[in-house]
Amino acid sequence: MLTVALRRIAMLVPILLGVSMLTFGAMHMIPGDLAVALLGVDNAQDPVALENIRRKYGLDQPLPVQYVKWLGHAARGDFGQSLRLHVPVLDEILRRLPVTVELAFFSVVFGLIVGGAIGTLAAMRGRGWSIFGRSYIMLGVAVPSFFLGTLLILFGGRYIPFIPTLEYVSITEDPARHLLGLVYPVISLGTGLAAVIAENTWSAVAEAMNLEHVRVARAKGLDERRVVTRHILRNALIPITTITGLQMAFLLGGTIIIESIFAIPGLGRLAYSAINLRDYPLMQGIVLVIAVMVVLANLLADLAYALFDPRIRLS
Amino acid sequence: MVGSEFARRSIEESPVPSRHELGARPTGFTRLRRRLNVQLVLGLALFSVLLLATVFASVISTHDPNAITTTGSLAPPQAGHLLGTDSIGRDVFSRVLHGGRVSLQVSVLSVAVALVLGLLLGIPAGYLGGRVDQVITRVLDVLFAFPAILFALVVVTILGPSIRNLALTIGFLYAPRMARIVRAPTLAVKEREFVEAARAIGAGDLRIVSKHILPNASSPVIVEVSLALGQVILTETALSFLGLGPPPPAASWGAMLGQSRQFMEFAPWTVLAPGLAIVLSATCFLLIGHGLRRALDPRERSVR
Repeated sequence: MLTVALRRIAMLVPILLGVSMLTFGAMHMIPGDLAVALLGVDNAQDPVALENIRRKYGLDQPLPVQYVKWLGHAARGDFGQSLRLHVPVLDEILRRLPVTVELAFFSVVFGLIVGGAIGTLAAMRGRGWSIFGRSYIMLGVAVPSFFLGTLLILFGGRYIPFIPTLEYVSITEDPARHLLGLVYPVISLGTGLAAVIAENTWSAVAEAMNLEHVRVARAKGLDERRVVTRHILRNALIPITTITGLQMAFLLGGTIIIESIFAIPGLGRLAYSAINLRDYPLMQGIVLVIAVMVVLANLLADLAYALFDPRIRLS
Repeated sequence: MVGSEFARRSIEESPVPSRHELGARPTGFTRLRRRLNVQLVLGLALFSVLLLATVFASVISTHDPNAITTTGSLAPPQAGHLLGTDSIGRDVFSRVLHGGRVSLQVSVLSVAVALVLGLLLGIPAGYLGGRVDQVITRVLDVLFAFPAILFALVVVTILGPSIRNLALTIGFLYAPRMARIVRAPTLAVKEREFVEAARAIGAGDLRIVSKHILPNASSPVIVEVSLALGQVILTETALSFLGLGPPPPAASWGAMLGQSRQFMEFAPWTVLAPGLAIVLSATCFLLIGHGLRRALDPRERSVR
């Protein structure tokens, strides 16, 4: 187990290096002069300012040197200053991060409960459930989160007055209203996730049902509920954990759209405004942080897999 | 797991037919009918409607999609305007029809890019194995770490929104998935006896890949292509929803939905029409994908 875990953790190094290179490279695809982009076209008339910014960001040096310098700073948590907000990039990211983590957490919970239930029922009950399951799996993916969110604001706002739609209340201000305000964003973001989880739960449960020890558990007269929870779901949980971890990229990408629609001041909305305002240091910082989060989530999913699966745990 | 699936299928569809198979080989039509399922039929029907609507958009639409009509803005659905008008008085029905062109164009192009890249990465990884496989797999892992929407937003902002840039970026982002789909069967098939036999009679790598590996990898790839088309439509519309679609006045579903949201209280049709168009087209490709998977994969048929 320990060697498996260590080997998996060692794999992080090349992946994180690649992630940082791609993030760095993407920013240098900007056509024309990066210094002009950083200053804004209006301020770029001044040659002294242009020269200063070149020196400040090291733009006068060759790319590999710039990359190594940037990576060194980034590793120490220095992502530079935001061009528009005039605060250190990392401070702003850390300020926004908890909001997004909360949204993502509840969406995963929603996805696991709804997707898990639909997948299990579709696998175990009759034809009706399997048709429902198949339709949900299809529509959950096909209805984009931004359309679902729009529908919820439109019809929810009209018919369910006690759930706020477009205001964000911080948790310190009014915890109850804060959680109510998260209902629609979580549904919008979690529905697609639930569809993916349902699909995988379905096949995992169907596979687990045919396992021999499940048949034995039934044969010895164990009541059905215990067979399901103890023997079937426990087996099915292994692939479901991995799948959920792998959906992290999709989920964090989704927060960009959902936070913009519902006016939630999280990392996703920050990313969107940074991109719109062409705040390059901020963009770079956010992309790197999100990618690192995805990589770590995948690592956790892999480690959980190893922990749950005795074949790997005991090896 | 995937490997065993394909091993099993290639036994079924072994290139050397048994005597029994030679005697009672079903005709193409019966084989096709046996494989059709509800999802596939529904998906194909929806697809033909979609295709016709897109191809004949200018014939079917009642107005110029970019012309401001005399009916006024935010008019409800009525005889002259099947789906009403938008905030500056353009006919929503005609715009939805034309918007489909952009979305489908971007989607097909992106999936083509993803497919080419996926084959170029997946086949060497699976066929050559060893060091090559390790390097390619690591590169794919890196690409998987970036949420498609986020990366596409950044790159399209930098390069500027155009159909070409959208298609290249989205295609690039979907390439890793395609590569994984290609790699698995390649890995499984290259160990099989008929590949060994081909090598024994002196076939080169190129011939083995094109005659033996590709045909056996084709069904998962076909399934993935249709599923990817559904996903890519959603990515493209999400980008144009956020304002990074093809530049205006070109109609695009995501942008129509995004721009009409502020009026949706008084004019719900302006968001419902493009939204439903997105859902229908994504559903169409997902139906085809799931249907094909059930039709092509014997394992899937027995489980469900």
